[in-house]
Amino acid sequence: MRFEPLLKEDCVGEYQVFVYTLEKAITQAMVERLSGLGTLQVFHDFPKPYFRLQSNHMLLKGVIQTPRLDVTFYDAALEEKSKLENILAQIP
Amino acid sequence: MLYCNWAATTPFPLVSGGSLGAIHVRTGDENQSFTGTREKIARFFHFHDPRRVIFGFGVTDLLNKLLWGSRKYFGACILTTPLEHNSVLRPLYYITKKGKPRRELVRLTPEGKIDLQDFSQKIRQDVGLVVVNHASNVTGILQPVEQVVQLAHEVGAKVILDCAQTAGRMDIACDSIGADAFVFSSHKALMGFSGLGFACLAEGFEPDPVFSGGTGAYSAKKEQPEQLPFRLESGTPNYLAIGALDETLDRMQQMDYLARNQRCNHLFTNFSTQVRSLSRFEVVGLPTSEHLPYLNLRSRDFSVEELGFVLSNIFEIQGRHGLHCAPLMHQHLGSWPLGTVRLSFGITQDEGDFEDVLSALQKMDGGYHAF
Repeated sequence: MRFEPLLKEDCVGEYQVFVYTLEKAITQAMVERLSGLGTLQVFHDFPKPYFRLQSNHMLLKGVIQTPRLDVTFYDAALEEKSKLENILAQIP
Repeated sequence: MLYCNWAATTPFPLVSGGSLGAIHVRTGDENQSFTGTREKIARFFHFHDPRRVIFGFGVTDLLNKLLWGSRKYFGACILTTPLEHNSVLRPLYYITKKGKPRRELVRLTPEGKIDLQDFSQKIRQDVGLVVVNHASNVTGILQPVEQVVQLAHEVGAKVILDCAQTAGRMDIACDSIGADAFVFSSHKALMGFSGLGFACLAEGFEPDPVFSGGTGAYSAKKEQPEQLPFRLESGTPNYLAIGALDETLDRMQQMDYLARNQRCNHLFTNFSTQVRSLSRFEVVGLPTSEHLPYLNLRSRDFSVEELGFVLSNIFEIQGRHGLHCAPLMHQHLGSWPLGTVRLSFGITQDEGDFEDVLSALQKMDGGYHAF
């Protein structure tokens, strides 16, 4: 799957937030493919199906059925960023 | 989207696009002196001399011009507060970087008001200039500006008052408050266009020009004209925004903006009382004394950044998360370094809006399951 990461302006400067615009809307299957990157939580009771994926190095946030991921990388976690982008690239 | 970021900017200008054509023609007929608009500003803010109303390209622009132009007033010390926005803190950082003048910060009370006892001691330490905000852009707490001005003037210090948050929220009587300069934003609670700020300068406060160029008058002079407003205004003014402001001030009066602000404040008081009872949220720095309708939150379940994301993208409530360009205020509040989610309300909001925000927070307050 194609995607485009964009560094989002952030006030704090303690971490970096990237917004990934995806070629397709996020599905439950995609979320499960990403789940190996950290601890997954899905909030089905919220007005929109919000999910988050937390590890020591990043926090990934998204809404199922939208084509966008917001990812916070702590301490310039470039390795985590690469892992994420590799997984995204492999999604058909 | 439910807009709760009035402290940053108005969700929409009061003047509609249909009016812009008329504004363009009207302002184009003037020699760009905008005398009528200056007179209107002077009346609106109870300031006696419209000739001493100057325009700039925003509060940050004007604060920089006034601060850098005030070298002759600095004395040995410039006194300011931890409440200030970076539009004050950063210019002062550069001005005081080499230690002459030095910068001193007034102590705040626990709830974030200027400690007048500390101020009255520090003002006597060779202070030439005082810079304070009328209300914090983080908590909205209102400052005792009349006492600050009185104490400063007793020692001959000048006072610049940053009214970015209070213009359009309350009746500001410039002549009565007596500061040497008042700086206002067009695009927040006044609901004008961005790219415009304006200032009222009292007699005896004569900043030097630090920005020079064409003034539309006195073109033969090599230097910037001495006369106000030309001394401090150069280049093409934002005439569309000035024209919009002219019409906006009329509309604010017609809609009785003071009564609407009071109503908003009343609704906010009820709302914030209920938010305080939510167990999964921490309300940060809510003043007990008079303040604007601003609420700062942290969540026990989400980081500040994530809370901002969830409110915006899931519950469609737009606040602002982070440090709000006021790092020292967050250090005072204990919310450094990640800041808070600030929800700031305005006069177009009704009971339904507050109920919707409260409902969203209640939903997040344990009324959900995460798998």
